[in-house]
Amino acid sequence: MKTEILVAERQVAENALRESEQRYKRLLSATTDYIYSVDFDHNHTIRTTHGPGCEAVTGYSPEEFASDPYLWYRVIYEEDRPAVMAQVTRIMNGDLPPPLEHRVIHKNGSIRWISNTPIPHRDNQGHLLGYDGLISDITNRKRAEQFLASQYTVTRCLAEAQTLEEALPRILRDIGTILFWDRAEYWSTDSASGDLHRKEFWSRIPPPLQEIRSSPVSSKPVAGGLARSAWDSGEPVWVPDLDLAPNIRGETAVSNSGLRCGCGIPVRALGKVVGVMEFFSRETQQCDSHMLQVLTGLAAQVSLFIEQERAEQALRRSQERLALVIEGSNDGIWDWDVTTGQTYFSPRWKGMLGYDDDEIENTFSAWEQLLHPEDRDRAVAGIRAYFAGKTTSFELEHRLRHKDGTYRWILARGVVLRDAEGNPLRMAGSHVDLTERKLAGERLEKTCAKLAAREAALKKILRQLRASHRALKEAQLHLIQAAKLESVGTLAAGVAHEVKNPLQTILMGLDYVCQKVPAGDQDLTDTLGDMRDAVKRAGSIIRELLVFSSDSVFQTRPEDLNVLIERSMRLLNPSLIAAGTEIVRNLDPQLPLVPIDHNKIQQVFINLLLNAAQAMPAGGTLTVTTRAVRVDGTGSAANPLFHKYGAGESLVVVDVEDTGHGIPEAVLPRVFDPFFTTKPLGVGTGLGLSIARKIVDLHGGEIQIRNRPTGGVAATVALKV
Amino acid sequence: MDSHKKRIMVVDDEPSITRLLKLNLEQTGRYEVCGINNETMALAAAREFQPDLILLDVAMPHIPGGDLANQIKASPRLKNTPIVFLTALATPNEVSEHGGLIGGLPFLAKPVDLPEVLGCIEKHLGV
Repeated sequence: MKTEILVAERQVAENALRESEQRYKRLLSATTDYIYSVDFDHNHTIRTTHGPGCEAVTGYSPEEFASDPYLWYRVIYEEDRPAVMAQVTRIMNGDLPPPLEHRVIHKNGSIRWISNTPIPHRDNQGHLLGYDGLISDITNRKRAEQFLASQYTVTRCLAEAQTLEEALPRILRDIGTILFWDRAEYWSTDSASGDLHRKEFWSRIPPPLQEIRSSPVSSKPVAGGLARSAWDSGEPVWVPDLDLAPNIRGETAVSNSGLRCGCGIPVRALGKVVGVMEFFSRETQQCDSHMLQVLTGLAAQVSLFIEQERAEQALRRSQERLALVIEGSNDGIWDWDVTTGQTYFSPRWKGMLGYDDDEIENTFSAWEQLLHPEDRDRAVAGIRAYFAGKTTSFELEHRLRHKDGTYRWILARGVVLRDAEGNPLRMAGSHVDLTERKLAGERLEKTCAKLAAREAALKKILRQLRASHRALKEAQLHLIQAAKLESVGTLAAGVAHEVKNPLQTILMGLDYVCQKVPAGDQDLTDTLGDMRDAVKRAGSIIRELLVFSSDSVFQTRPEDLNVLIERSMRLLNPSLIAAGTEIVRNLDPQLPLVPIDHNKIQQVFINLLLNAAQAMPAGGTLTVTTRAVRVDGTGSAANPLFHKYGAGESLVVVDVEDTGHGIPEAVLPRVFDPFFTTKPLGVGTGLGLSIARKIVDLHGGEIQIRNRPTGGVAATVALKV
Repeated sequence: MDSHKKRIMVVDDEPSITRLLKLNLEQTGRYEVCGINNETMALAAAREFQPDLILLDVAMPHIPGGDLANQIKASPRLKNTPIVFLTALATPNEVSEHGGLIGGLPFLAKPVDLPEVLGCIEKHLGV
């Protein structure tokens, strides 16, 4: 029983011990400090012992350190080994060197910062027996310092630089140096092509990498796989081992350079990726989120700088543009502080009015004093309306007094700046000198008016010329007609006598022979009758020819055309008027008297009435109309008959109309030609209208023959009252 | 010479006219006609013939009808003899316009037919 109890107790004690050991181990693995000891014998290291905490800091166990005498040396970061060895040397020499901070390479490949504080221990005679060292893992503190330093240096670089191009070399170098990268690059796009270009790079690594630097930075881009990846995704990219990412490695500029780890950080401006910062190291490194965060923060600083730079650039351009526009437009500029009345007038503003810069004080009242008195109310009202929001823009044409006393026309335009309540605070705008434009406008208006007057005069002349041309053409036609008639008349007069005598002989002969015809010989009687008719017709032609060619001297006296027309109608042989012909008289009872040669005009109307009657062999309506007409000033375009008369002239117009077959349009122009007739053979001599026209012409009148729209012919005679 | 018949002298340079007028007028049985074609001989012939009426052409080669009429009117023995011009120069209108008179003398415009000639002669002979 006692034994059982002892076994049980022992079991409990063992468990407790095991638990205690486990706890201790957990504690050791968690602690970042440990102690090591180096023992000498005659200045030679004979043993190195690493405390249990070494595994938490280096990843290696005390046993591994114990079994490999040079492990401690290999874990020291290569670059830092000389410093560590120097520290050891100093201890061996009897010094007490200060703590040394250096890097070690963790078993997992990561780099750790440690603080190494050696404490020598000696024998009673003071001989060095060895030393103990306290190792503290200061990686976190060190990184925090590096990150702070990198932020500081980037901030300083950007603050001291005018442009990103100027800042980039320092930024890349300083970040690379402080954060222990071996190479840093900056990529951005070429705005023209959109291709990614490497704008800048830095490398701590000696050739062959350095050789790359000799090639122009702006040489054809090697569209970096890493940069491209960060650019396209807009997110940071971390590649722990480029050798394991052949797609990226193959495309980067750092291929074959011995670099293993790379990360790309996009740089944004105004929401768009505008560049990529790349960092490389020769050691493979797992993604370090803290580092990534810091780099992203640095990239954000660069982003801010770019945005600011762009804003400044835009502002500068805008200002330059404004300056150019103002200079180019030659406008005067003003800027009025509404609350104080202080007003800036640009030198050009003052120069426009002939003043030097110091000759007009910069106040609103200075402008008011220069205002033309007639424009004052309008100008003030314009400003008030604009301030009150009644007008959406301010534009004012007004006159300002020039130094020489004249007034210049100025176009003012402006915009107002208001406070939160909408009250005007400030108003600024421009002045344009409109004087020359106004004068030019006035000159132009005058010129236009003159041109318009000239044009009107020319049009009038043109109208007159056209009327003259028409009159000349008519006169020419008349002359041609008259010449024709003259020649016919001359011929007629020449032959009439010679023809009449033979006709007389024939007629007398026929008269004689008729008396000798045996009774009952009807054929002979008819034949002789036909011959007599033929001779009489020949005689009548001769007579009409002689009328036609007779002296144009005639005597006129005022007569009532209505009376003359009635007489002419009575003289018309009733046998010539077909049965069923209705005669309509529209005779104006108020017709004024017309100076005419009674017989000649009667002959005209007999001719016209005869023509109308003969045009209706089957009957119809013969209408005779008389009317008084006063010619208006428009040239009476409606009726070419009146063209030759001036405005205000009084005429009596007679229309003789029939409802017969009309005259073919083609022959209308020839109806006044002598011997031209549309009547059947033997019915007309072809001289009636020629004689009528000649008589009307002698009276200074007009005669016109035209077809009526409803059929038949209308003959119109116009005679001056 | 038939004292009942009126004597008519016709002066015209156209022989056919004088001959046919003579034939036509004489055929009426009321007239005796003397035709003269040479106007230079007309005055002498008239003095001899003592016509009751003279039909006188106006346009003749040697003496115009008007001049010959004056000569006739100047002759004491012939001054009362009616003269009717028979002319190819006048038109019927002129005849009517001038009241049938040229220089105060009546006239007939050629071509004129027998009834017109007879009417005119009878009018001026007061038959």
